[in-house]
Amino acid sequence: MLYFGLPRYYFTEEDAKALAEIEGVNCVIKAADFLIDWNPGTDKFAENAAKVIEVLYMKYRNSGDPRLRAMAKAMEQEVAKMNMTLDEYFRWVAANRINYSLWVLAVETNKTTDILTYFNNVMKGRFLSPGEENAIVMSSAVLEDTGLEVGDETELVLCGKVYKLRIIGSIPPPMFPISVMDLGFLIRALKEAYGANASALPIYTRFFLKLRSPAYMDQVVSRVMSLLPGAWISFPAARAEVITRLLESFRASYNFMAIALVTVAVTCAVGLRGLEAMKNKREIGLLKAMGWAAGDLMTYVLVQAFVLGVASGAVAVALLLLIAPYIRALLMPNLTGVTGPARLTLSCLVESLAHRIPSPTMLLLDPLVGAAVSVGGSLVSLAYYLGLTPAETLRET
Amino acid sequence: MITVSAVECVKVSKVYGEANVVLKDLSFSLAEGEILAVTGPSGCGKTTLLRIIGLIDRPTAGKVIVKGHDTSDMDEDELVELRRTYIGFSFQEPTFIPTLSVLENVLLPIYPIARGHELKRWKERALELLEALGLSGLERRKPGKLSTGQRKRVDLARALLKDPDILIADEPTASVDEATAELIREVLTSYTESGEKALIFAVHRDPELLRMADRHLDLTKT
Repeated sequence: MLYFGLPRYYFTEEDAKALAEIEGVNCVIKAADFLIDWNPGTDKFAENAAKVIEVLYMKYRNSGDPRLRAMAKAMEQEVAKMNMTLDEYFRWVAANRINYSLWVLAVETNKTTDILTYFNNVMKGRFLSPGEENAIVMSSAVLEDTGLEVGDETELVLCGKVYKLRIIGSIPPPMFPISVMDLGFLIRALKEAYGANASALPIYTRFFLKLRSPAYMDQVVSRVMSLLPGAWISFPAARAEVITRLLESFRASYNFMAIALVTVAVTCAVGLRGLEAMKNKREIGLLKAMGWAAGDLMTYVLVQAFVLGVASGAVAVALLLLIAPYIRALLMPNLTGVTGPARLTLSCLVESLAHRIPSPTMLLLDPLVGAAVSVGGSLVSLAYYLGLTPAETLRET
Repeated sequence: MITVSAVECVKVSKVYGEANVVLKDLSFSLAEGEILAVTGPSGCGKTTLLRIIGLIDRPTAGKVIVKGHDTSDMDEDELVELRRTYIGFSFQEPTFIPTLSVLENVLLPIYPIARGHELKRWKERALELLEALGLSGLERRKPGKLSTGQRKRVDLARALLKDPDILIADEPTASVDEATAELIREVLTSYTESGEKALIFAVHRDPELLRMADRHLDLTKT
């Protein structure tokens, strides 16, 4: 089985039909992500919600981020204004102010029964039966946060209309951070609740493809890529260990390249600065003789150093951009020797990572690193220059 | 009436290294409006003396008094202030910042003190000086593209920019043709015309320039 989606994009029924026609595809399982208003709906959650607010408040108050600390301060001011204790305030916020949303993946459950991966990772309870209504499999992380348990009842709110759902199972967050419902049930509920406003439904955000055999993987992937260019494709790889190992090697190569390039940039900046400093000696003597004070010289040299540093950093950025395709090409051969699903997963991941070389952070940081190094170097030479008399700096001619 | 000397040297000595005595117990005074020619053969200490008077170098012994300020115990910042206020210095071998234009090099002394709106006035002044020294049209050129004579004149324009009370010129007419030397002498004459400015120059082989001076200080005799 392979699984893919496009962030901030949706697929249509026509896309599903086109995928179903690909040779080797046995079944297309349609799915859609929704963020839905949610009322956890239990008394025990109400208690827990106050606790959640308290934890949040403590987190804000102790945060290093001044914006979060300001939010904690605002909460304290509100408490004072409302003449409440903090505990009363937490309970009041939990009861009156919080709007909850639940991230739901609605999937065609009538097609998932014989799938041995992806949908068989239920931690507690069970997965959805084909077409099961009024039931939800929730992320264990959500359950933990809210104090809800498998077997409890919870409520989805669609356009003011409340749908009671039984929590029938929990799934672990790392692979599956969202809760799962039946697609048919949710689409019907959404249409019922939103009427004409839901006329665009059904639309899909993900497809799961069941293949006749792993042998079709390559050609199906290639066809999917041509049908839906840019689709993010994932494989529940059997060879996860190999993938992890190779990704680590990729990451190591990437980091090495990044460090090497920054080192080159920094060395260039230092070298240029050094040469500049030697050349500057006589100029500094001249400026001293012209009546430039230490402060004037400092401003002159540091501004010059900053500009030069930014320029050398920018050169490094240009260099990075210029050689990035070669770095990517160098990294790609790491994948040879890996076959089947693992290779396909890797090729997608490596492709995705390699397209971020050089990373925007590095592009932004390089000129700043260059400037910092250049200014630092200039401070050292300045300390030397400022200790010399104009005659000493002018003498060596 | 009490008058203040423009420059006064009292028993000034300069020794390089252990025993290389360049100046020894030199004393003289230069009044405002006076022109002093420092003469002597190469290596007799003319440049050293001018640099000491110009507060670019310090004497090994003795003291230099500029416009009534004893500079003996002054730190570098105080010397900078005096240089900035009273002195213009034209070098024997002019130095420029090669990446700046002629005009920008001439304006160097005023960059630390001029405010934005004053810059225009200073530029006009610099252009006037360049014109007076026969350098019109060269203001955008880089110093590296100038001849020796042109470099000397640009340096002199820079020294004159702030119309200093004391102008120190180290062999201003050396290594230039006669026409250029004449132009430089004219500018120097015009500088001293008011009778309020003190001019000290080193001279080696320019009798015309020598004749301009009110007094001669021959370093071979000191």
